[in-house]
Amino acid sequence: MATDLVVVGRGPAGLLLSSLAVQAGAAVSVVADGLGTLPLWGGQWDFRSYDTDGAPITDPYAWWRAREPHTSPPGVTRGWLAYWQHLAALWTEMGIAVNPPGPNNQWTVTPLGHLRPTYLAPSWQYTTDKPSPVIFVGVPGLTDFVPTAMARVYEWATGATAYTMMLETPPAWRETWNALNWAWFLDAPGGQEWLMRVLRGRSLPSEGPLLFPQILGVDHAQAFIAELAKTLSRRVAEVPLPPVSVGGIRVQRRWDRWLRHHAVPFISGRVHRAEPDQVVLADGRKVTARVVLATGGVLGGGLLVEADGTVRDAVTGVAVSFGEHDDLATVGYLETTGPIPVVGRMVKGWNPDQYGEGGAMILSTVHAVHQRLMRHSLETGTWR
Amino acid sequence: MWSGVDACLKCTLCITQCPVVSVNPDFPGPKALGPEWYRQKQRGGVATLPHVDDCTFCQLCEAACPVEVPIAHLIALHKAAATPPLRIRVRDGILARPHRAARWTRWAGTSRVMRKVGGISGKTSLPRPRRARWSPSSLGQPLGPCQGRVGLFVDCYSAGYDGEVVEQASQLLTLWGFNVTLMPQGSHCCGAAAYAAGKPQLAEREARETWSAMERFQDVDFLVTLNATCDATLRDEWPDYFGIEPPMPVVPFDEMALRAPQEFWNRLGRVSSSAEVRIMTHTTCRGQVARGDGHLGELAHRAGFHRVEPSDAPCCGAAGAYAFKIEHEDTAQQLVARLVEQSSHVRPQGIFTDSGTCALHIEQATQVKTRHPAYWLYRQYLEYQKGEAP
Repeated sequence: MATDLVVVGRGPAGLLLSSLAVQAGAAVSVVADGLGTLPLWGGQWDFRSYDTDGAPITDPYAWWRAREPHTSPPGVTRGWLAYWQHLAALWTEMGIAVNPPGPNNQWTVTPLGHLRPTYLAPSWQYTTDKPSPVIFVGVPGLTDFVPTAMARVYEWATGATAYTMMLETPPAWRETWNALNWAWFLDAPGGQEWLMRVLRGRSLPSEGPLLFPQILGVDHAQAFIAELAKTLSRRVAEVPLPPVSVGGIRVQRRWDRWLRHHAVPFISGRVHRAEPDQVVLADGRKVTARVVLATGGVLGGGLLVEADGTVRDAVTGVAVSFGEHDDLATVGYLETTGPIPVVGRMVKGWNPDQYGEGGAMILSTVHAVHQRLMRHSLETGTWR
Repeated sequence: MWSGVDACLKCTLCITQCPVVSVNPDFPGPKALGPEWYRQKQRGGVATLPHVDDCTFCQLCEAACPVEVPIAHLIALHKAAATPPLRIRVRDGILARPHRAARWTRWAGTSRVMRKVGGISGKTSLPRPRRARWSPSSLGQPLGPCQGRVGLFVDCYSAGYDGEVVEQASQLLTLWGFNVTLMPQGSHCCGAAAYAAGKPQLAEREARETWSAMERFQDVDFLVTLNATCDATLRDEWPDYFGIEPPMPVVPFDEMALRAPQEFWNRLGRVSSSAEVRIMTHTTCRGQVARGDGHLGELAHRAGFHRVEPSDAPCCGAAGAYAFKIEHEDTAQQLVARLVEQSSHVRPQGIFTDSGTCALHIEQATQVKTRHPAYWLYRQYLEYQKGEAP
């Protein structure tokens, strides 16, 4: 089986580009040295959450439309709705239920009880278009999720009532447990039966969804959440926690699985040399195919593009010159007429930490490169 | 490789990929047992954490690490500091020398009482020898010009229990145009079992003995491995942790197979009866770390199996001698349970895997014939020959 495309990196950008290419009929190989950032991340995708003054944005489409002639990558913002719909459909196919993308940002709750905007999230995560009374359900030992403290902040921020509940510890519990230990416990029948029994024995406040820390299982979380909701006759959802981030682990496992079931090999190794149509790994192996780099996001497999456009070596912090390829810093990807397309990196002038646009950055750079690769393959009959 | 030893960022990616964390609520996880333990050790006040020995040494934690901390190797050092009871030490001493243990091939007949006394699991199958039953020339003339000389690394498990797969691999390589030398003679050991058991010094001694035995085979162009763990140990651990380079390049059998002459695949393509046969592939954890995942699926596909399902289990729990140890039997069973569940949906007629002990463990749990890819390719070629016979 000849490979048409080799994608270096297995974070969200690498996996999304690989999936698009697979759907377009290409034979794709993923090459990666590390794991990528998915398990450090709750799984929600931000579109544009705040304006330049820090005020939350309700309609991100309008925000981007108003800037269309000036945004980079140029032109890609016209396709936003299609990109989001594609992502939602792709995730649904992988077994990640997601609400259909709507016109506006949604509110989600942080582990501190604050509200923050986000755009697309798996349905296990609590999102709403209007803050309303909620019930925070805590478990012992999770310092990142303290219901009483969250409730005070939530009531102050929204004016809506926040009830709290603390559960006891199950017999299997250990003091050292983190969110992932809880999640594996609740992924198995024994843990699920325990939680169901405990909740059935409690009298719940008359209103509001039950909001748990993001620990309700790993591979079986969706089915379990649905079963809880049915049994308790109310909405059950989760609040994502800082790493270990169970939502991202769920996404990573389903996405890897989907790609492996579409015959995409995951080649492990460090890329020592990348050329437009070949990568050479540290141990001498070569993978010959059209190359796309999807490294250098949060963990920076090699290079980071900062908000001001400076490109730095992620490890040493030294600024790197790209010579004639200044457009890498400007747009986060290179034209295919340039040597090697790059996706998923910071785009000059964007700042996900400040403005909440990280998901949009991945979508726009990945689709920009994908469209160019597709055009090339249609014109020439080959991906190379 | 010890350069990243203090580089841990506490990002927790290692924990997210640890198969043992997923099934054992007592296991403190790779971050606590590896880099955090090491930092405490550097400060002087160090205790051995309980359950350090529950690590399977699959190395998936290391593969996930963004800053190259040798997490699993730190855990192996940590294991070395633990002092288990005498009978367990005796048992571990034997299992850490699998090339010697495998010479006594009647383990499977050991009584339950003796197993318990010796700290050997009563739930996990012990291997029984499978001898070669074919004459070496039965696949016919090579399919092309001579491609060079390869050495076939006869690992301890294959030497003791799976002469069949050694013979099958050897005949296939011959068919593909290689001159095959079985090596190293006398079945030494790559050192993997000792390293996994927290005996890095013994591992290095065994590796050096094997290296000396290999040195005599100067005319070999490649060394072909049948077991992903030996493969990774020879190619990665030898230079990185023992400072010894294998005398010739090391290539896993499945990658050699992907380079087989086109005529071979054309012939297998004529075996039409396999297209609807369901097959599962399980790349062992060490294989995933060292080379990646997906080669076995491609081999199965090329061999004419068109309904191929990759395993969803990151580690089957066999982990060399891990599943044979009484204190690990439950973890080993829980790890393979994922494969059992998948196999009950897929209902495969065979499973490809690149390690003898994994094959044994998976076959026991799933009740599905689980064999090395050399077995399946050989079998397919015999099918082709049968179809061509007048």
